[in-house]
Amino acid sequence: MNLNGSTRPVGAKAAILAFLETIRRPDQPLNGIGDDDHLVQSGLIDSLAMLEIVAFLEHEFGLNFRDSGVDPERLASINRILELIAEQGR
Amino acid sequence: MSLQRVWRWHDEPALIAAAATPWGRVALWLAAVLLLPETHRIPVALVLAPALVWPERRVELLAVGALGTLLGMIPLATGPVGIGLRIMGALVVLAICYGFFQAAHRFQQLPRIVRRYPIAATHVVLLGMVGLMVVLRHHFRFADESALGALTATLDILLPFFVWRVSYMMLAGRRGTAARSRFRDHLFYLAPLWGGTKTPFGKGHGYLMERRVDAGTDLAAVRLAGIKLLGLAWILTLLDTALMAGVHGDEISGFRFLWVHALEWPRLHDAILAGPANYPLLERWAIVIVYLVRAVIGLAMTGHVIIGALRLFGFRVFRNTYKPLLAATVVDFWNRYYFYFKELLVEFYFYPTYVATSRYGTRARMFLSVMAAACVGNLYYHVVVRDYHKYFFVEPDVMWERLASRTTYCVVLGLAIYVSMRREQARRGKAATGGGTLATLRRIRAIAGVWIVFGVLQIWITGLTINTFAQRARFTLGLVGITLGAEAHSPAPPLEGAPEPHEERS
Repeated sequence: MNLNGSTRPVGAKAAILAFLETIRRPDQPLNGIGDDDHLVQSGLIDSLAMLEIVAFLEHEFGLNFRDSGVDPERLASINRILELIAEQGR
Repeated sequence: MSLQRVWRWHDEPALIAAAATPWGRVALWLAAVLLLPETHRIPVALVLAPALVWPERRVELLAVGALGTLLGMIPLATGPVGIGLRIMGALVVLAICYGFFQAAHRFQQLPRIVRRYPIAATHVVLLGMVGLMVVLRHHFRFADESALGALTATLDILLPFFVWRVSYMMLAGRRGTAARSRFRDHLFYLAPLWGGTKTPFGKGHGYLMERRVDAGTDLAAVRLAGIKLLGLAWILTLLDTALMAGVHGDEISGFRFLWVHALEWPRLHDAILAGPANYPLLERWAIVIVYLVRAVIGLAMTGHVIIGALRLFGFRVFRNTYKPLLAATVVDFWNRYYFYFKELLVEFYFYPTYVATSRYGTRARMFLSVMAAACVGNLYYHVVVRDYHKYFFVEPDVMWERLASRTTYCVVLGLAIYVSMRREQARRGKAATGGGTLATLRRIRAIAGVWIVFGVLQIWITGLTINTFAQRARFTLGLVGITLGAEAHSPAPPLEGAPEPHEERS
């Protein structure tokens, strides 16, 4: 799935949440995390798990990090990830 | 009042409210002056006072302080000529940093190859300059008192300090945040008032600006957390001193009770030098573990002062060292032990490798990224940037021996982190296992395993200029009861001036 395919931006949040559920730390439930909460600082994931988000975004949304590089701050919260998806989808 | 609440005294609302008042800020300043180490007390106190009154001006105030820091970093001379040379050296370093700022500021106008590989380009330029200085000094044999001698010596010593800081500036350029900044916004982390190592604690401009707290009780709370860290640094200093007296038998005044009853275990590099056969098996392990514990304490002491100072200026940044000895996995230890060094490796090696290897499968990408960071990046940082004098200005056989030891450390570290990450991945997304005695025992076993991995790894990096590859290999085998070779000479006397664990990581 990518932005040209079956996953539309409106479904992006649900896809991200479903993915975060698979990579969260065992002792950190996802339902305690707000859309603007920092994923690493809240303890939901560690900074190394951020890479799995990168792979997910490349695969599911066709995002390309080759020129921009990975900026952890742009992947810091659910809303910031959604912004990135919207930005690259334009 | 619970113990937890006492420990987190800096979170008390009444105290935070008091710290936000004018008299509270005076109290904060006095506490900082009292707790800061002597080496940084006066400069930090001088800049902190106005920064407590005008926090919105803190970056500019710190930039002024950075200019003083730059002058203080230059390793020369007394008298009017020396002072002139000092100023000249500082100006040259400042000009180099300004040049890089302009590159970051106008990042989109840089040639495509530089935009694609900004960090590599930065390192080629800066380390090229270091190499040039070294060649010039050795070829022309400048006298240290001459202008060129002073300048080349200054750049040779100073530029490596700026390599990673300037790299973060270029990263800000790539991410577009440097375009909205001024040169003075970058000075405070380029030449930090509170000192530091070649690893930039607090990373760079983008990270620090994201974590800047502007006003009110939030700002007071961050400042109190800074005071707490400065206090913890003192407690750790006392603990380390007690270990030196009580374990190694150092005759430290005020700790007589401990050193007269000391265990008299040697430092790790002395034990490696003497060979494992000189110590019972349990003592070999004890020596390794004490070294690991002291390395953690030493790193925490340094980091707490730097992060404490950053927090006093209102930057809500993570600690550099956060309870690594309680980590139950290798990757968690690596995260908690030297956070800003790990972040440096993650930002400059881990992420870029992952992005560049998108044609491979996820596991292969993960493996290559981990090895690029923990192995290649780690090796580059220590051999090329930090200790190049100790690797490249020695006899070739000594150089190869040192390289072999460091490479062994880096390869094993990379493999251990990869295995640990894979195991962590397998656990993620599952429900937490229950508590109880069995879970506690499992956790203790896991923590012990982490201590063993990192303890044994220390054997390969301690005593860079003291221990040989063969001695390290013998001591490692000695930990599993194998004692090889014609050693068994009597223990060597402690080496004068040998580095302590934290000095080997600065």
